[in-house]
Amino acid sequence: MAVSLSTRDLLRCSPLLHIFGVRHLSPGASREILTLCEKVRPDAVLVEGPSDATGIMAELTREGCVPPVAVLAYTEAPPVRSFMLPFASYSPEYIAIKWALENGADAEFIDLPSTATLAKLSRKNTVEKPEGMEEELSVYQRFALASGETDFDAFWENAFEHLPDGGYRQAAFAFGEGMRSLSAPSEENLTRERFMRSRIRAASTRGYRDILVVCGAYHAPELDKEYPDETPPELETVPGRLTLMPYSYLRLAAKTGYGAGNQSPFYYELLWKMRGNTADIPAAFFIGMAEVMREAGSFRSSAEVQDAVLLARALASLRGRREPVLEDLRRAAVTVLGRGEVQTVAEALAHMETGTAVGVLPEGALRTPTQDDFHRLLRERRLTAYLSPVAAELSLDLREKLTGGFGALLGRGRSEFLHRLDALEIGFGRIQSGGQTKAGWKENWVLQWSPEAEIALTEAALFGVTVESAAEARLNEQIKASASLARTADVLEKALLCGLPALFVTACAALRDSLAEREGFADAVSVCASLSRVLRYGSLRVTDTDAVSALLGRLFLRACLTLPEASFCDYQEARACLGNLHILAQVRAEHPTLTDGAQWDNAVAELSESERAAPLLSGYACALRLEAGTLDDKGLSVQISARLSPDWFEGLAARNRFMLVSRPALLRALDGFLETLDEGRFMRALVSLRRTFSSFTADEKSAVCKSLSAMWGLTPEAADRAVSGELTREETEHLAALRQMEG
Amino acid sequence: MTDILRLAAEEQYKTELDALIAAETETVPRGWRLSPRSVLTYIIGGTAKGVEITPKYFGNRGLVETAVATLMTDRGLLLLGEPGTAKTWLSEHLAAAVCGDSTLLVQGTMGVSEEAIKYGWNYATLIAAGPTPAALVKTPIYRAMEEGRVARFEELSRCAPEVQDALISILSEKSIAIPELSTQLRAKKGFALIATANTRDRGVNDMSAALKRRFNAVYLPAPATPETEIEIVTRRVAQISAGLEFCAVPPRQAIETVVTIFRELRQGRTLDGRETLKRPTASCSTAEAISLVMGAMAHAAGFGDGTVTDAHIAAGLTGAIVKDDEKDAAVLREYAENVLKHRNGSKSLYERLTAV
Ligand SMILES: Nc1ncnc2c1ncn2[C@@H]1O[C@H](COP(=O)(O)OP(=O)(O)OP(=O)(O)O)[C@@H](O)[C@H]1O
Ligand SMILES: [Mg+2]
Repeated sequence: MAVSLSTRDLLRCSPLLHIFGVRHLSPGASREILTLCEKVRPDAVLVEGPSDATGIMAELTREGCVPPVAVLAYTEAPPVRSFMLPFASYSPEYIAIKWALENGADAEFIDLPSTATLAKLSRKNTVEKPEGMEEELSVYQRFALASGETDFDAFWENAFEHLPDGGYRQAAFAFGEGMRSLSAPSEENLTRERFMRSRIRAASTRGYRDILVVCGAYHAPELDKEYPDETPPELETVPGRLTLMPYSYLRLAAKTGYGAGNQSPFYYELLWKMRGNTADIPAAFFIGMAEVMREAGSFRSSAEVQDAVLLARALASLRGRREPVLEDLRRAAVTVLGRGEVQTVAEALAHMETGTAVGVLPEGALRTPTQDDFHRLLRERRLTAYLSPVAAELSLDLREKLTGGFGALLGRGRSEFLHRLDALEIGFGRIQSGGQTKAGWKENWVLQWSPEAEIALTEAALFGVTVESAAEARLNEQIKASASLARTADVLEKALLCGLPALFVTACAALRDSLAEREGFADAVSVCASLSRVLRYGSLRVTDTDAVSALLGRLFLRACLTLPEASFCDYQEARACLGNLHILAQVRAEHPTLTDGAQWDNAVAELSESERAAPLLSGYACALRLEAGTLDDKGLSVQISARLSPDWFEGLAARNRFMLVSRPALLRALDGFLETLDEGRFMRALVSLRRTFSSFTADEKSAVCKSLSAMWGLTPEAADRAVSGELTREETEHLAALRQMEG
Repeated sequence: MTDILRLAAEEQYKTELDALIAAETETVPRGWRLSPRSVLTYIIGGTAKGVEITPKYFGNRGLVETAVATLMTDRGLLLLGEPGTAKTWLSEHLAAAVCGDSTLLVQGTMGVSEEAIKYGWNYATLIAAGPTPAALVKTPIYRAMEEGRVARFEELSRCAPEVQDALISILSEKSIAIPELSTQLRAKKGFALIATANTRDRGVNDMSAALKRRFNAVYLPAPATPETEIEIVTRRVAQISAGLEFCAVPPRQAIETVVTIFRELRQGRTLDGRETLKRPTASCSTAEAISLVMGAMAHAAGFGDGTVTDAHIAAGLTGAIVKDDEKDAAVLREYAENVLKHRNGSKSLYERLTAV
């Protein structure tokens, strides 16, 4: 590397600078950095990373700290802004820091302090932004394309990770220069580089002999440049905090982009462990896959592993690659180990590519204030025993009277605590569906602790110092970001369950304010359903539900008014609409005084008479009217003759089967209708009738049979034989054809 | 089936293959005529020394790479897929490119015996002179092994289990024992086997695990979207008609119509997903769409002014779908009534179809 002579000349004993440009999470870089360290034995190691996080280096390399872990920086004041700097065991930065601390060299982060980055994030108004270089992504893609690769990761792996020893640093330097010529550096990058240079200058005056600088390849060409009279940049900062948190491969893989993540952390760890024996990687990869597959019960022989290696090599050579890259391995795995099917190897591939590793921090390591609060609450709520990887059930009783004051408080306190964790997406408790019973005073939870939950807990610090304030802040953000009434209503419900009265009021107001916007039928219904639940359980939680009652009334009205429009649709859409109509009918039944009965009756009547509505829905509306007594038998027969069709019948039967069974006239009309159909239409009708009757219970079916046999003058035995006897071959064939039409 | 004049691929595309050989810069594996990369270019298209190499297979490049790479290893290549997804077509072109000979072919049927796989005897010579090399009748696979070439096996899954077992030993030992002559034939470098099998055939599932393990299976999918299928048919029709006498323009509109109808019938659902349809037993594949359009063009050129009309398409549809199955006639009729009748611009096609 070109070493700036002028820097050295400036001071008599100025050190030798070794600038090493890397890609974050690149094992190839780590390998070569280790070699360089052993050779040069630098007495100072400067690493790209927030300069105020230097103190965390000791934590990072402490006994018991197992990567993946991340430095987390977050603002002290809400709205919380944060960013993370993840390290894997094979990160070059991590390797360099570790070498330094183990070999008595000084180590230091030299990038902008986190407080400056947080200030920038606060200005930009983004919640989280991965470290660094995201905006240049397309340039990286372009670079890959220019080298004849379609995918940047394949390009990178071939061009860098598989380089023979000693080539990486040069190649990365050239890469960085190439990048800079493709896109002019942003203002932000220029500032960062100016800052890093100032830190390097400062270190140079401290009498070191050899300084190793580990930075992104993009910055490498700039860091040993000499700009006369250059001063450090002026920085705007906001108060912030730094901590270390466990990270996971899953999360690492979920982040995309050149600098942000690493799509295949487990595989890159394998590359690191192989220490440059690139030729052995394919075999190690497929053997690993075969082991996972064997555990899952499917055996792959070593001959097949060998064949997969050969195929991967052949694929690589077709692409002109030195050695297979992950893409080649993946394809060979599907073809040989999967025998052509992705499904067969999907799990084993995920295991070898992404892996499930979760980082560990030693006892007594940095803890966020939220973690402290969590553990305190856990003790108070007597839930400490549940902090176990083994799932356990917990049944909560929220009633005050029955169990006595303290018991009820404990139940409610626990419930709110668990709901708050849920709002923070900390996967500790899962409420069982139907767990909140009709009565509303009982909840069933399954509790299970996991490293992922631990991570989410650490991240909760992004929103607030306590579990309560974090949950509130998180839900508040959701209200602000909410794109629909339904989402807001969701938060309203959560506010209730979490016991956050102030948030409840905010959500109510937000709901009211956004009512002016146009919401369709489906949204209106889903909000109605939420509000109806809130009212049902409201008395147990918060008392003031007047605002909710008023909202329910308005939304119910909107649902009634938008129903006609929603009902002009095809069969598939009508199925979804039917579900909503069903919910709306329930809401009407549950809150007769809060909802407008006249509007409802109108809407239902209109739907049942409508020419344009989907027949499924008008059938259902007809059933609603029969139930309400607004349509009599005579009215029904008018309807039947006007609109009987299989879909219409299905809608009718979806509501009230008893009516079907008890009205032979209806069956007779259906029978007459079927008689008029030609072969093709008859088959279609059958598909739909099969669907209708398949939801009937055995009793209901047999009642229908009775009616039919009476109608056709059959003895009950004959009818029974027709229904439950063996199928003829022809019938079986017909059934198969029907299934094909359905499927 | 589509090509009226049926030349072997290596004859029909001789210019392209020669150009690729002349332009070769990479190592050619023993027994091959081209480097693997040139084989790839031959299949997916490109240029060689200024000569345009037309694409033969349209689709995912990765699939073709896997197929070529497989031939570089010593496993067999098994091309799987629904009818008319270019399995045979790709296998023929691979063989032509790799060894310049696509004719060493075994057609799999229930009746194929082990003798058709390994070797047989000329009984007259056998009786006259006893078991001598002269009495031995070589099969295409025998010859491929002897000469280090690619053998092709069509419809592998239709063969009886013993025949499939015979293949296992050939693939794993790369030799054929000839006990009658106390010798064995050992395959020369360059020998490879490409088999095809139709996933609609029940047999695919019955293929023994041992045999499946000897092959790399590559699934050739039906074209993913109507647009790609239209593109494939258009390009193939243009390629084929360029080599034929008649001049009729590949009819864009007709191709769209045919592809739409075939896709809908194949999937048993209209493209907009609104209606379920009965599926005919006929496969309605891309290959059949191509031959339907070619047929219509030939008709238009021979008996009309070269313009493909709805009458030609209607006749073609009836021919392709109804074939010998009465039920399929009803399926087509129902499709016309339920779909075409109500579709904009399909009125005349509907009338033609229902008038037939
Ligand atoms: N993706 C494609 N690219 C190029 N040609 C295609 C493609 N799909 C189909 N074809 C064309 O289809 C025609 C015949 O296909 P082919 O006979 O190879 O199908 P197949 O898969 O062997 O069918 P079968 O299972 O009936 O034997 C060829 O003319 C071929 O060009
Ligand atoms: Mg074929």
